[in-house]
Formats: sequence, C-alpha cells, structure tokens
Amino acid sequence: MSEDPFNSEFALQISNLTAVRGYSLLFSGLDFILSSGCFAALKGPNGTGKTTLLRIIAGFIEPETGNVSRAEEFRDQGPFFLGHEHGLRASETPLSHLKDWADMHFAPRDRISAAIDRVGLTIRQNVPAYSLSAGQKKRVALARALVAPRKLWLLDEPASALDVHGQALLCDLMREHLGSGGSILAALHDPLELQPDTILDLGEFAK
Amino acid sequence: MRGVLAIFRRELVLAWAGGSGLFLPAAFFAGTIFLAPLGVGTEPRLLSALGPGLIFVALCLASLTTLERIFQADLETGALDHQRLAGLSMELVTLVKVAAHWLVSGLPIALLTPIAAVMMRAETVSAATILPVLLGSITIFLWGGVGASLTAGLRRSGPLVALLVLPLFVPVVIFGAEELNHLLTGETFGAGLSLLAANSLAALAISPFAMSLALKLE
Repeated sequence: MSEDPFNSEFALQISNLTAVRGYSLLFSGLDFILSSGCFAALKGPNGTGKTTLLRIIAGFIEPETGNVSRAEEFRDQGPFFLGHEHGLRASETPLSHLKDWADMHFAPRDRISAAIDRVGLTIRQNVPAYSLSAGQKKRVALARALVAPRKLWLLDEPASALDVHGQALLCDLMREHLGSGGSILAALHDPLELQPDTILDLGEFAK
Repeated sequence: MRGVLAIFRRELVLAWAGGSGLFLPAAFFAGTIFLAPLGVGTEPRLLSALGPGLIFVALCLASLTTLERIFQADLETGALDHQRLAGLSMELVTLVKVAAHWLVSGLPIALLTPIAAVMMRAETVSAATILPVLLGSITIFLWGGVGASLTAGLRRSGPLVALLVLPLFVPVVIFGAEELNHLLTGETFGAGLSLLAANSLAALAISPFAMSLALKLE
C-alpha cells in the first residue's frame, strides 16, 4: 500500500483486488490508493495483468474479489481511457471523430480545433483513419482528453507508437492534467520523461 | 440524448463512407426476386402464389448478408468501450446502431416490395404492400442485432449469426407472407398485420437489453 502522507484526498482506492484471466490467477490481494493530483506508474512483466487492472478500474471487467472506489468528484464522470485500440473506424477522420466525441460526452465543440492544433494534426484533420499512421491515431486519441476533460486518466502504454515529439507532447499534457488536480494511472514499460509519484509493481502481487 | 444522436449520425456517416456494403442487402433481395421467375417459370398463377413467401424469405436472407458487421468494427477498434465510458446507456446505443443499420439496409428492401410484387405477377399492387415488409424488417433487424452482439467478438461469425437468429425469424415469415398475400390479392389489412406489429414491439422491448448484456460479456 502506498499513500501520500501529505495528501489524504484519494482519487481512486483499490482494496483486496483479485483478477483472473481464463484459468490463471493474475494478481491477488492488491491494495492501492491513488491520490488526486498524483501520477502512478503501473509496472510489471508482460502478462501480469496491467491492462486487466486498468479495465477493471474502468469498469469493463468485474474483479474476482475486492472493489474499486472512486472519489465523489471522480465518480459522476467516466475516466479517460487510452488503450491499445485507438477507437477509430477506418473511414473516420480526426475532425469527425472529435466532433462525435464532444457530442457523446456532452462537451462543447469549440475546443476541437485547439485540440487538433495541439496534437499537431491540423493539416491531417480531414484524412480518413486508414491513411493515418499508428502514431497519428494515438495523437487523435490524446486530443480526446482535451475535447472532453476527465479527472482520472487511465493510460495503457501511452507512449507506444509516438515519436520523440509525440512523447514530449504526452508528457506536457500529463503535466498540465496533474497541475489541474487530475490523477493518472499509466501502465508503462519504458520510463517517461515525467517522473511518477508512485510506482505500483504488479509483479509483487502475482502468484 | 445528444450523445446517442451523435452515435446515430456517426453510424450513418460511416455506413455511407464505408461504400461497397451499403446496398448489399437490397441488391441481394432484388437479385433473388429477379432470379425467381427465371427459375420457376413465368406462369402468372404460380408466380403470384409464390410471391409473398418468396419476398419474406428473400428479406430474411438478405438481412443476414451484413448483420454480423453491426457491432464488430466498434468492438475491434475499442470504440464500444468509449461509448460505455461516456456514460451512455448501452441499451440505447445498441438500439441506435441497429436503427442506423436498418435505415441503410432494411428500409430500402421494404421500399422495393411493390416492384418485387410486380415482378411476381401480383394481382393488385399498392403502396400498402410496403407495410408488412417494413414491420417484418424491423423485427428481423432487431433480432439480428441480438445475434450480431452475441458473436461480435468472433471472426467469420456470419454462419453462426444465421443459425442463432433464423428461428426468431419464423413468426415474421409466417405472418408476413400471410398478410402480404392478403394485400396482393386485393383484400384489406388482416390480423397478420397486428401480429407483425406485436412481434416487432416484443423485439423492440427485449432486444436492447439482450444486446447490451451480450456486448458487456465480450
């Protein structure tokens, strides 16, 4: 259990969590508290359940035992989830995708052009996803966080497919998010330029 | 509501941009009806007797051509996850997806019915002949959506969807062909239409819950 003694406000509390996949136990007895304004890095070898943990927190999977509770202010809106799948259909363009994203999340549309600018896709905003590179799709996924801000970010390998500038952009966005009181839990293999406040190593909970 | 409407619009835009598959069910339907007289001969009495049944059978089979795609792309790309996280009701989301799919695939078939009836040498053809096929197609696409949601995580799921949903199409074919037969022989609406409507309302009441539950299990 890791708790920031200076900040008793938690964003996310995980207690006695157990997860299985198929017939194998991934981790058990997992306790963790993520304070608001903190960045926690989720580590562990392949197959220890990093993605599964993120999906449990997002509410996609029911855990075997234990529970996940989110702070009051984090509960009325879903987390921002950045997974391996980019969520873009082949003929969707970044602009149309973000417009639908704004509508879907009841967010105003006027942030869209600034968000596209910020992730550096201005000249490619009307290009369908099948002509975008993996890194550009990742940038579209990042722009979603700017269009419909969420307090809790769950990132699964956020730096994958991003170039050096993309990773710098990611770190900037994360820094701004933390500065505004948001929290981040990110599954990482390679350390980012941004230092995490705490590290949750799933390898310790593996059986 | 705005969120669900956004998904509806997105589905329509993507269906349009997706191209080739858009009119596949309607083309399949038209092709079946076009080939029937070539196969069974042009004897008017034979054709007009076969017509109503054939139209409904063609409707069922035509719907199967693209059913499996309703949820597959969104499940694979993770878009469905995001729609869940946005806090939208999955029952509404699935219903809206089926509605959009029906609008581009089911409605054209219903609108083709009078032409199909003429090709099958029906005695009287009026715009009213659209109605039983319209109601039947709604039921078929709703149940089809349930089949599609159950198999969305599987590759090449088309044949499995067909096996799952064909039994649910049985009442539609029975009552629909009966009713269409009424209309094509110059009679007014019969009890078949009420039964078709009841059938589609039952599908409307049950299928959204079944679809959302099935997709949460994927």
